Amino acid sequence: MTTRFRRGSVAVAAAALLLLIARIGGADSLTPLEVAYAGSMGSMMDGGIRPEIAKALGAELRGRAQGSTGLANLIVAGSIRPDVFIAVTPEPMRIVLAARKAMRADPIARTEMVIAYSGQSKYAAALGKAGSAGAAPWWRILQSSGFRFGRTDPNADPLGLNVIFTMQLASAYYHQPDLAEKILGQHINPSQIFQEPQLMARLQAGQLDAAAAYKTQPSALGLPFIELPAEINLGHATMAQQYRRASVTLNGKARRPSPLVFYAAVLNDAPHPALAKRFLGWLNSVPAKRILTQYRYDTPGDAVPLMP
Amino acid sequence: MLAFTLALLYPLVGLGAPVGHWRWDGSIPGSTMSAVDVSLVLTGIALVLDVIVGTPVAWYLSRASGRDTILWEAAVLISVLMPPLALGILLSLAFGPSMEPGAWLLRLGLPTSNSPIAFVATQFYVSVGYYIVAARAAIAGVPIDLERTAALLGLRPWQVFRRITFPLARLGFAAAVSLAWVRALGEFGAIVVTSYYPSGMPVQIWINLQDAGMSAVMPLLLIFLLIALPLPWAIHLLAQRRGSDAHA
Repeated sequence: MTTRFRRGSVAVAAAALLLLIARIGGADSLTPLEVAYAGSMGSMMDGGIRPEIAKALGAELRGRAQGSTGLANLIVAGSIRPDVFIAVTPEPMRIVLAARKAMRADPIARTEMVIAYSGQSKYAAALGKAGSAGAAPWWRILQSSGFRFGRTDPNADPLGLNVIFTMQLASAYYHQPDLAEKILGQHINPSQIFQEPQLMARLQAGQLDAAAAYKTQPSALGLPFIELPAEINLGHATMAQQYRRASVTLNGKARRPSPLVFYAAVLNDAPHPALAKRFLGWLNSVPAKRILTQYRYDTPGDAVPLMP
Repeated sequence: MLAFTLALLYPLVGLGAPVGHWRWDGSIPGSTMSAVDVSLVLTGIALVLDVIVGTPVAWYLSRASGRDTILWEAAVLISVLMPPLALGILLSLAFGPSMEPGAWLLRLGLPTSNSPIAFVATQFYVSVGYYIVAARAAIAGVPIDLERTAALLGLRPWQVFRRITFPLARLGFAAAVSLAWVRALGEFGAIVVTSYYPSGMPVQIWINLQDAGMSAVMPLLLIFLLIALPLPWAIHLLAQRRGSDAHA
């Protein structure tokens, strides 16, 4: 090959590469909006919110889903710098507020605990009938020997903690003193604990019989679920005092349940602060509320904003 | 050999698990092809950087005497031994706004997280150590006397490398490039922290898993295997064929 030909082909290759990089680097006219949110919110964020805010705000949603507590810690450490943080339950949000990474958090939605189960499980029929008269109740079916129950890590994920609270409350509600222990085993039970996205995936694949979940999760994945009584499902702000009868000690700290409210905050060092504020405002709009309802999120009710 | 291969490939049986109808685009239209684009192009750039930077380093480590290279060896080994997630967290802090080089880059307007630059930089950091270790072994297999003789005959170092070292170490270099390629392509732990966007294939699998479950993950797994395999396989075949030509 002659030198000129080689130089020419290198130049062409470099130009092609630069064009490709420009394409990947986001050559569209939408402004990026980086949102870190609780792991369970993925389907609504990508499926419902993303197309809407592209039209309404000219924003390209760049979502990052993970357990809320894990995200809060990454934000406080400065490892990630999103525009907006959406957490479930106040605790992860309080971590961020206490570290002065945000000035306030507003409630945007609410959910409650349910038991999702796999249609392929041998207990599926029994679980499907669980509410009706004469049928075995869900908590008895979950205690069957060989029943494979799944949940998440209470240290990294509010959902993991909330399962334990729910089972403790159920134990009092149904007058079954050993219910929680029989269903869950120890707080950290290696045979039951999985990472959040894998939990639903394993349910789908039939590797687990049932798992604890927020009401928003199973329907997105086509999974059936059992609703729980208001007294134990952590979903009602009016029952907050009743919920606080449950308690779990993790790493030496006693933790008590809070109602399952989703809070959203604009972060202080947001790369796109104006757009972030507009997004939070938009979450109160009619189209936003319609999306929330479509994905089975409830309205925040009488929950109040959080301040540092 | 057959038994070993079957055992090695057994995990692929998981692709046939009953997870419902495969969804080829997850919840975001176009996300699959976009992830393939990002992975191929940006990892390709990182691979080129690996070769350009790593080859002279590997040559030096291979030819210099043991005492001189102790510290450099340790540095390369550290980069290889670090767990990817740890590397990602450290990269995000070291190039973040709280430390000076990161703050300076940000002032220049270069985004050091969630950008193609962050993606390529992370890929480089996770794979260059592997490339160097493998390339060094490849060069060490070439008798140093041949290089010295060529130098005595008047060839400059770059010419020695091109005409003596590289042809004889072809297979080893092929292995080094393949290793760096698959290492970088499959990287998740570091990338998920430093560069969630643009999303390459591993991060897209993670996103699909959370948004839509297994039915959106399977197609991407299959595509990942189809995309990842050709380059290292082709390099290996080419190197073998020309290697045998050279000896014929």
